[in-house]
Amino acid sequence: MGAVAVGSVADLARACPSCASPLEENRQAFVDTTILLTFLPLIMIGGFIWWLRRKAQQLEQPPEIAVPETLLRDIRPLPKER
Amino acid sequence: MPDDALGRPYQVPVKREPLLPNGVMGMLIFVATEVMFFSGLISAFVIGKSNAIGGWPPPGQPRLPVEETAFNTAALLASGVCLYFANRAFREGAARAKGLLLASILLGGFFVLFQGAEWVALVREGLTLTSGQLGGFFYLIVGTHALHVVAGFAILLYTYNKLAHGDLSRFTFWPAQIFWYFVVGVWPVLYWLVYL
Repeated sequence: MGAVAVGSVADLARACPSCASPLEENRQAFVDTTILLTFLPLIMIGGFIWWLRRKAQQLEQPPEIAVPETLLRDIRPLPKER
Repeated sequence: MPDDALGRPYQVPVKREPLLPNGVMGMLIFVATEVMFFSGLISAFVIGKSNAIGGWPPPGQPRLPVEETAFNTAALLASGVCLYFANRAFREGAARAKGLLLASILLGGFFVLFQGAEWVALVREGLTLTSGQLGGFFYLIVGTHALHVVAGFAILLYTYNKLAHGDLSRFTFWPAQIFWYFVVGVWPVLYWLVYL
């Protein structure tokens, strides 16, 4: 019964008024905005994850220890063992 | 290393700074949803504009004040720049942070008032929400942005009040800045699409 209904009643759905528009500019605007709304959230989420990972890597770097100049002055190369 | 009362080696607790403060994280998610909301409005406008018969703007409709709004756009951008320098001064602990934040708030207030005056003139000329596609889109998109400016204005006022009392933390200031930068950043896009 379902197959009969699909075969005899169902027709192509025209849910998108812009897709069948005779105006080229209108069809192009529909494509452009579809691309924008598809990729914008992906770019935002991807950019956010990338930025968080970079920030986490920076935090994991060991902090540099400041060595006083007076200590650095006393450093000499070790004498060679004979 | 000294031991604790139970003889275990004593360990110094290390408090790590969070990767991202909760307020900043919440504001970033909110702004992301706002970006999508404005993208939806812009998409509807672009498709409606391309579908208009007789060109855009539709004939017989009042012209939008392009030059005056360009001046107002500059005021809003200047507000964003003031906020940027206010943040720099705040981080350095400089007293001029207060003045710069106040300048940012005043410029934001000027933008809202100027737009209000512009709307009154447009309504007098016959451009209303129901006068046609131009009026409908104009008041929906620009009005939604104006609501955001008012909200951002209130947030900046709250921030200024905290700064004036000396209890503003960077974790409060940062989310406020994110929201205001969004409000300032989205406006040139709307101006370019709706007015030009």
